[in-house]
Amino acid sequence: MKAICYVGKNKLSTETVKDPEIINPGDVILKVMYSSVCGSDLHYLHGYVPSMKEGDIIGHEFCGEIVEIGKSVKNLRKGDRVLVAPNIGCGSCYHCNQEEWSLCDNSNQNGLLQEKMAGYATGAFFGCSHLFGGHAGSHAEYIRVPYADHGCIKIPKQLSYEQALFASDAFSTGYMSAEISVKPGNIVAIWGAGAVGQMAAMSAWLLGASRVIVIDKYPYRLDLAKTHTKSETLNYETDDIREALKEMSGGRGPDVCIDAVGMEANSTGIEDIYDKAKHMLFLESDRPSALRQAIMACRKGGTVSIIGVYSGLVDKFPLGPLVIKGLRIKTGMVHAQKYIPTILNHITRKEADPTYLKTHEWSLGQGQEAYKIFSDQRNECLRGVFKI
Amino acid sequence: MNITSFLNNDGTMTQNEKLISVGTGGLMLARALMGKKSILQIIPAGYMIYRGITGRCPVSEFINKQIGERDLVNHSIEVKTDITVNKPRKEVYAFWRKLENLPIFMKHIDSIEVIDKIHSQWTMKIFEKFGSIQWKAEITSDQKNELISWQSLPDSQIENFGQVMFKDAGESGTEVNVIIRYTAPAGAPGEGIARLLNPLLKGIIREDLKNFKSYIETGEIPTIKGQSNGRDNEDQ
Repeated sequence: MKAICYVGKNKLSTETVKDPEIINPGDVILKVMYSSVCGSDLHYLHGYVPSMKEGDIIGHEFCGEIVEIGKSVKNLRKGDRVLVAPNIGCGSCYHCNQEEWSLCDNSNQNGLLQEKMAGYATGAFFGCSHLFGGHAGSHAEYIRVPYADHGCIKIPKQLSYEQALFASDAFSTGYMSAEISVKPGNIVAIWGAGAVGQMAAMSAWLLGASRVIVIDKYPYRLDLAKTHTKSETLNYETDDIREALKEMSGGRGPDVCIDAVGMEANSTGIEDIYDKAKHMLFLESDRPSALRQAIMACRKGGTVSIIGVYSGLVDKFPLGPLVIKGLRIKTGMVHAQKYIPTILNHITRKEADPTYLKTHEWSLGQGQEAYKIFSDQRNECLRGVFKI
Repeated sequence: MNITSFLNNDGTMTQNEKLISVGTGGLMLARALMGKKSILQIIPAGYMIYRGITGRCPVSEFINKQIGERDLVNHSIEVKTDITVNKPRKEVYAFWRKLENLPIFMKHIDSIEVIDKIHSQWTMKIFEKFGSIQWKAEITSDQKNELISWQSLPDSQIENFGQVMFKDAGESGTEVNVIIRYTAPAGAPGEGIARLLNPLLKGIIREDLKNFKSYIETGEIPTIKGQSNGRDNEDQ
């Protein structure tokens, strides 16, 4: 089969590889229909996350049709149309039982390696480096899905693959960022108007926010947020963000500040130069400028929700303001199995429509070119999808 | 010269190893200085000379500290590790008490054949390159749902002791505390083997325990062996 493989920093190649097979009894094999790029892929591609190996198949947001079933799979059949969670959860450990699916104790076969970096191992993800299990990703014609009874969620008959696709990761991650932080009536500010930030805005409304403000520097992304999520927008290159947010929240600051940017944040002026220089020299693993601003802008006693991906250590972290303002930090990688059914219900009831996130469609043969467009935000790219 | 002649009893280097380290470092340095004068070659050369002169190897010391190596007298390797399993204590005990189950998750044990209620025949495959090692063991303590311990019978090729304790961990399930000890045959080679294998075995046993947890919780052990990738002739 064809698959898009990582071959080195900023280098991808579409290769012919062997078809996947059932390995464990809880596996299924899926014929992939659509597989989306994701901002987190760029961190691996840009060389900021260790343990990628040449030949790894990337991609983790996908849907398709089940073509083969392992002998202990109970809830799925050949021919089922399913959406798959990007994180792999066994469904049996303490954390999966608590619906903390991305903290699964069992799915990450390289857990002992990750313990050295984080103290304790998280669950595995598809196509996201060997620290996260080394599972083959979804930019391929077929994929093996372990613990399939828990990771595969059937797509309702009323929805097409394209309507459901982004509930896998972009929407479930955005939804989680709001669900862990937003209470009805809250004013919510969101840093980052990428697909996750857009979905965080949409979710904040679904969860009862009274005002939603999205912050970015790309006008086309801010326009999409304004049009599709009915949010207000701020451009950090032209607006004084803290002053503007103070004014928009009656002088008290947003109740909830969501960082949907993560480790490769951009900012302005000397802060931007400082972070990029340190990042380039690997003196800090993550550039936290969006998070710094979120902490400074948040109201006293408010909540900062960190959903953007961070990999290691940050510098100049405003711990003092965080403590003296009594902020709450809510964070985590997506527990997609928990959120996907709720999101599919919203989409089915036409309360939310994430299909506008797809600005580009490519074939598997265009992997390198596609990620270049996505990484450089060329042609107003928000999210591109490989149609298999 | 056998391998243990490189190490004194306190773990510092012998004169032999010091000389080899200085000699190797000198050669590496000469080669680096005659070549591209790369700092990447000069630093390791300097390090080899340093360890030869001082008789100390900071890298080994650091690694030993990280892995919590516990060198016991009489050439033993002892590994203690803990894991919490999301299953009731009774079930976890019953799984472990059926000794034939252990090779399912213990990579370093090839097979366990139960002879009678307390005796069993163990085959270890960590040494398979040198031929497998077998020994008979007996259960020395069996406290239902609380503790199982076993010990190799006298005159075994390798002495082996193991103990596993089970404790309730509330809504988290059952805490499993494991101690496994191997004592290599007496004499200098045994000590050398013990030193070499201690970190290796510690890693293997920790992974075995993780596999045990996965197996009893989910019925399978996670793996990517055999999956698709773009690498030639490699299955992971």
